[in-house]
Amino acid sequence: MKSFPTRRDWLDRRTFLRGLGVSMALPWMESRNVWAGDVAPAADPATAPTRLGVLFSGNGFHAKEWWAKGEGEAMELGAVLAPLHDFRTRLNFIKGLYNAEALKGNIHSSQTGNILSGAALASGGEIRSGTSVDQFVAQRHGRSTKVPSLVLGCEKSNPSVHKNYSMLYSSHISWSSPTSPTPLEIYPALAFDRLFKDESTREDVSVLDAVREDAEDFRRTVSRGDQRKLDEYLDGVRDVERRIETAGKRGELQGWKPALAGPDMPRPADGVPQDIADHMRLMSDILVLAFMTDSTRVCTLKLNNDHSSLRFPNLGVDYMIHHLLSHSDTPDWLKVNQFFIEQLAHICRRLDSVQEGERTALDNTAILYCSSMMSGHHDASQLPVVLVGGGGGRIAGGRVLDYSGQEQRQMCRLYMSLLDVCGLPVDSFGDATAKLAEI
Amino acid sequence: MVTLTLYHREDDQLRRLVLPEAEAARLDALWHELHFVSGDALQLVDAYEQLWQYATQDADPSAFEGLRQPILDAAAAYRAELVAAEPVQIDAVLALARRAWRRPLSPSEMTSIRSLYAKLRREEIPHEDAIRALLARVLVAPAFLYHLETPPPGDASRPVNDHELAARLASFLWSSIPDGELAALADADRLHDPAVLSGQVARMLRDPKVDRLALGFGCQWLHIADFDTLDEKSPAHFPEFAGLRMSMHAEAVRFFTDFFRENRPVTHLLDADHTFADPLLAAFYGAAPPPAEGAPPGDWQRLDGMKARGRGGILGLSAVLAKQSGASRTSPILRGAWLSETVLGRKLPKPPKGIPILPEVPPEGLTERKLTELHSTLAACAGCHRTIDPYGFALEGFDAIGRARTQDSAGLVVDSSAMLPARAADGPATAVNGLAGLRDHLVGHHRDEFLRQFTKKLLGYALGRSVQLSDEPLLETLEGAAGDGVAAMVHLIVESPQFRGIRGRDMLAAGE
Repeated sequence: MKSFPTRRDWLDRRTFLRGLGVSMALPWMESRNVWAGDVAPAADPATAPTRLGVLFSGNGFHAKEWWAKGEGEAMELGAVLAPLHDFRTRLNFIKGLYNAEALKGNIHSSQTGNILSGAALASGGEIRSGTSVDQFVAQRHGRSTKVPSLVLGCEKSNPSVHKNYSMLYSSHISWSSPTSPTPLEIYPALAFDRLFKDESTREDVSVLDAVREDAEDFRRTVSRGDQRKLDEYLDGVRDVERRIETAGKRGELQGWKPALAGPDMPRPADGVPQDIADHMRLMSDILVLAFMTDSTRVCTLKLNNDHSSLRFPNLGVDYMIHHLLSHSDTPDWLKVNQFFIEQLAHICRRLDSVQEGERTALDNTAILYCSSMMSGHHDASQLPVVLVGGGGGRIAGGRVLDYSGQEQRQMCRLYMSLLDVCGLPVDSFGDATAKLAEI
Repeated sequence: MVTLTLYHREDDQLRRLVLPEAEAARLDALWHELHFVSGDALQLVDAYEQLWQYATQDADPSAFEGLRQPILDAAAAYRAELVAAEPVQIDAVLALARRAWRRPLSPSEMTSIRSLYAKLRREEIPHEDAIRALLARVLVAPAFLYHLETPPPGDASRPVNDHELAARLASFLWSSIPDGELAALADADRLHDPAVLSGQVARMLRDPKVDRLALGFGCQWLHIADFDTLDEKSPAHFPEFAGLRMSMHAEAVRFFTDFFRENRPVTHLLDADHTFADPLLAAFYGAAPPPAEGAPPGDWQRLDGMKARGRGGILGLSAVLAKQSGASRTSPILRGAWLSETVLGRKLPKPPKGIPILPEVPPEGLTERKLTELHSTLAACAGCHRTIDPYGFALEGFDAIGRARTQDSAGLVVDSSAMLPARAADGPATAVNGLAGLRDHLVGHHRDEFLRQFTKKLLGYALGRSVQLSDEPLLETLEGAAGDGVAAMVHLIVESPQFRGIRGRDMLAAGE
């Protein structure tokens, strides 16, 4: 595997543009990596980019039926993972990883707030976690695509407080910064628009300039704590400015075009679908669509919250909410678990049906599915994790990896591996300092 | 169909013969506004053209010729009106900015908004879009979205200025911006005068807008702020819930609104004998016959004698009882934990690791209560649960949507007796029965815990931050005043240095 060029090899994009007066539409040059800070160039310019998908469901899984053993074709999957049977040679069942900081608070929100960052959490009235791994990737690679990342959810955010920790920790797995949960889209129509509709007007730029100046002026006069708040505001302004800038532009990799030029499904109806199965299916299809049109390469789908209140009339399980169902290992709880895993299976099937050169889109994607506790009994000393897809041909499948009992079993080691797969090797992430050798 | 009359006015007799001069003028002004907003003068030009085209197809259109000039003249006059309105509308945006930003704009701020407009017009953006952009600029500005308060230099605190104080007051008591009276007092720099400030607090507490305080503080504290959209009840078990939840939510808001407006003592929250109900809820509480099928929504009335119906106070609010229940059955543990943590402010420890799993199928003939007791008699669980569950057992006389009952969903008789834990860890438990017994016990033996919890929550809400050790003296003062009614506590909060002041710019916050 070739190592990626470092930043020093790249010319500064703006200098280059000013010098030659060229526009963004030119195809890539093979000899020099000219777009500094934009797209990590592919090792082979004709290969599709690597995508990262992250799925989450709350309250863990059926304690007896979350398992896998064996390897390759001979791998056997417990009943929860049965819907992934066809993909057993493409998945990694990972045991024993955990976030040490998630054990320091109480239950639920304090176990979920740092699921994708491993950061320490603030309690009481303060909201503080860490930048999540998906947003870490989006902030570095996001300029290559129209949308830096897509963060979807099928349950709305809960702003209350549970056991002295904010329930925002239970409602958001993606964090753009330690103090800003990434805004979550639960309306399928709006997620669709985010990918395909250009909503900015000419006046927007002038309005943004004016309010940015307001914030910068005011920032000089306030206390340090308030400065941080205004920084969040300024980040928001810059985000919108960037969106306006990149609208309609696309990074292109020479020789590779995404499978779809535009959406292959109609714009979803406004509002939230009544049936949770429809909602999850729509969001899964939008995730696939985002990857297939290369509108984004990082997509997070929170199927439900930790401490979730969802009920499942579609499965005939509506006498108890998800959170309370998780407290006992009943056949109905298993049914609900399988329903969630079916969403992952659906995404895998759809991605696998798209050919990208020698590989399929599934081979070029890494999809992480996890929860913030093993089962409904609030045990976060090890987390349930399954990783599907080849990550651009870099991740071997068909394995059960067990890190229980090892000294260094930080969940963030997995994130370091995923960052490496996405072309962003780091020296540390969260509480980890070495990636997992196997991923 | 093409018409030359988009808005037909037919009120000539009314106007000429019936209305007094002032009313007639008002009616004319409304018609003028309608024409202005609709832009029908311009639409008529196109409509006329179309009519002309139809007429020329198979007839002699000259009969319509006379209509042409008046229509064109009216359109020209309308365009002139639009241009004349442009500066008026820019001024209106500036007036809105003063209200939205909760303070007068500086001359340079006003200039910059006008310049933004001029810049957009130079870029050939139409007037309406430019005005919309100005409105966006006002409402996206940090001055609207945040309470931007200027700290003094150094590390000494000082009182905020009158505009900032007015904004804090309006935010606390009304979850809104200052109204005209508050804004005028701030402009005149008179708000900080103690007599004026006190008068304003009293006025604001009597205002119906205190219902936002009821919702934002009262309902949020009790975890029922979003109860009107709660979707967690099984429609199979409780088909009537969806139709009731808005009334249940509104009852709680009105209960707390009444608490603040009528200056009730804090114990009223536990001990009240009245609540509020619309006909639906009154029937649900057994206080009135059910309204007729398809009857329009009825009026809200005060409902007395709730104690006689086994309710009264926040414990009897159906929203509270329903929220702390499962989708199809009650949960004494949820209700007990809610009471311990939310109402009494106790900290419950984490559940231990290795909790034994509940039996998958509850044995036949067990009430919901007995099922819970099974869970809690296990040695690993009992220690904590005997301090939590009994509060829930005492409320078993209400089903999972808060309806009074004597039998549970399995048809078994409900048992709402409970052994409430003592204050001391190994003290004797007290036997009570039902909501009434629970309430009397709380008022008699846990009044101080309840008062402390209420006071902490109210102060935290008012200050918009968590309560610190340095707030302890103020908390004690507030608790001392609680017997005089909640208004006294609100006054004390508003007069406190915490509410009146802002820290110096260089003061370090904890942990910096």
